[in-house]
Amino acid sequence: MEESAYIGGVIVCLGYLIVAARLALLGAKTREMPEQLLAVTFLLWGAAYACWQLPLVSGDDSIFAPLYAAGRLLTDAGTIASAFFLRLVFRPNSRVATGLVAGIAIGLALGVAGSGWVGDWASIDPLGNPWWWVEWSAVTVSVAWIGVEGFHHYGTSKLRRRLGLCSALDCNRYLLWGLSGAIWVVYELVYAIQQIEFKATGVFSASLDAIASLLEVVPIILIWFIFIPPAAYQRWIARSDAHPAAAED
Amino acid sequence: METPLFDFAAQKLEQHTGFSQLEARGTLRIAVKSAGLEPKSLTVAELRVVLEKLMPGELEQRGVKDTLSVCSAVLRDLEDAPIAESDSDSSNPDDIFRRLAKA
Repeated sequence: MEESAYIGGVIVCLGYLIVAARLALLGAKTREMPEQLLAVTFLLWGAAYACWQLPLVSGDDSIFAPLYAAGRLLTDAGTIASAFFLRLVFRPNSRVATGLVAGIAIGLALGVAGSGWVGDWASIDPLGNPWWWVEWSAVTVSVAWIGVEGFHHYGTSKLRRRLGLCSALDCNRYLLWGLSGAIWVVYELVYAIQQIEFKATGVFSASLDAIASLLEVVPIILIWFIFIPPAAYQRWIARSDAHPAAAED
Repeated sequence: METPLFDFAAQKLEQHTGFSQLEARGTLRIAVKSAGLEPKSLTVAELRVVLEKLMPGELEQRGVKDTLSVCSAVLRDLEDAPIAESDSDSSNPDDIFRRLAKA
């Protein structure tokens, strides 16, 4: 089971870091906030995966707990950056979105502080640590928000496309963004089940581990197709612009 | 909160159709929404498309006779308005995602 986790983790780590580097370069050039926020998000998420892979690479179990805790903190910080990105890009004047960002940040901070308070610094005990669920809920809400915005804008972009206001590629990016969010939500559910199972039985089941690895790898592939789309993929999607009605059927 | 551009177009629609303020704003809002757009972040280019492609149908449904000339009149007012020059918002999600995906 550790082999699949290791391979998946390394792929995800590198995937996030490469997309982060590309967005950081763009952000340095444009000085615009969306690319900078997303670069920070993916950099932190990539760094978190690096923390989680290091104990497996080194084989040193003593560094597992501190690096696991560091990885959770990096994930949480990246999640806050992603929430700021969502608000800035999709709901810039919305009080609800501002409240949601605040709620996510507070939930994560409470989850981390509470987990520390009950002695579960690495945040790995969903059965004995109620704060684990606070942190988990905040992360799940934030990735669900990614999915909701993606699918909502996919729907409206299809209407704009019929009027020539956006392209098939624009629509496709929202679809991939929505799918990423949806898969991350499923991943969070599987992750919770995995943690409960591990705490109860002391082992990770191979099937759940394989599913979790798949649910980690697929979104980063989708993220690549959004932000670093291969030329052949762009051509394939753009081809449907010639026949938009057929593409919608 | 709608953009000043939305307010301007609704006001002109009211003038050229004889609609009440509520009817004009409601009709424009429906047309904008059915184009997959947001009244809060409407741009001039988007409004032009709405007036050219969707508004004639919306007006016809509401019993307006010469729908094309009404839409042309609103478009003409828009061309002459200073508000059309000041509008150059490229911070909508489509533009942002397009920029982020550019190599």
